[in-house]
Amino acid sequence: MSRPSTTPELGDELGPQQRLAPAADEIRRYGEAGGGREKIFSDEGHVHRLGLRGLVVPGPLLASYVEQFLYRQLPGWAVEQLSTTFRLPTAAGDLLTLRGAVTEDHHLADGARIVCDVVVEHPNGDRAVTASARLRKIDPAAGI
Amino acid sequence: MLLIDDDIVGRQADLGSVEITHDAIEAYLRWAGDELRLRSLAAAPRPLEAPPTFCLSLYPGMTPKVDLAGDCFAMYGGHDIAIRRPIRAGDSLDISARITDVYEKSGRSGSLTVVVRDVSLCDGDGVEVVHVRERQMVRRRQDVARASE
Repeated sequence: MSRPSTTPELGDELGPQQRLAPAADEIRRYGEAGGGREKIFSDEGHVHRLGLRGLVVPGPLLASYVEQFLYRQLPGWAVEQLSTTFRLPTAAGDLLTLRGAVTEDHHLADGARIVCDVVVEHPNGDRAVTASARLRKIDPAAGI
Repeated sequence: MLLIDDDIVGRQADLGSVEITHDAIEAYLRWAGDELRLRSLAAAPRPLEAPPTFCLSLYPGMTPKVDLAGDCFAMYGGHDIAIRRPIRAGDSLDISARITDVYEKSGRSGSLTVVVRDVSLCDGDGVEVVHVRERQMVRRRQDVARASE
């Protein structure tokens, strides 16, 4: 099932979209499944001693949230590069707001590209994650 | 001052081979809460192409490991993913990682040390499918506690 392609323009805003970070039990399961054996994913006493608010949401999951946001906002485009920086730890159960903008567009010989900046914010407006993605226009029949 | 000796630069790890299956991709979509792709699968199942961040689930991050001093801890600082072509069910990928840089950086909670690793995921012909550059941040515990006061 393909989705109708969008034609984003330079300066277009993306989102906002809100979603909840996973609960503590889900983060523990991530660690137990081999995704990360560090105590920041499993030991609440440890994270509080570090001055953190709760079990830390794994970076790869936050990166996936950013990519999912782009996938939802930009049908017909696929991420080919994604640079993600985790500026602040995100804790279990945090309400996250994702928003972004189209910052570049390019017309290359092998197809169109756009660059989007995305931020993931905590409820107090702090930017927990900043990301930049380059996307290519795809054949609507390809990909999921 | 570096919190880790930079003589670790060049350290490599063979992270093995992995066969990509439909089930593994679908399990990833569930783990990541990727409702939109899961809905499209339910509507029209077909050979699966993995989402770009799937690659991060194929190997243990921050490997090769480094030893930290007792008063330090490490967090995942970020990464750059370059997709040469999408990963698909049926792929067999060889994964290797190498520490390529160690440098100092000033953060809001004081100085920290960044360990950079390059991770390469190659197909059976040795052609790189995905390249990931990871940044691991190493800090002293008291710097984080002070910043949160």
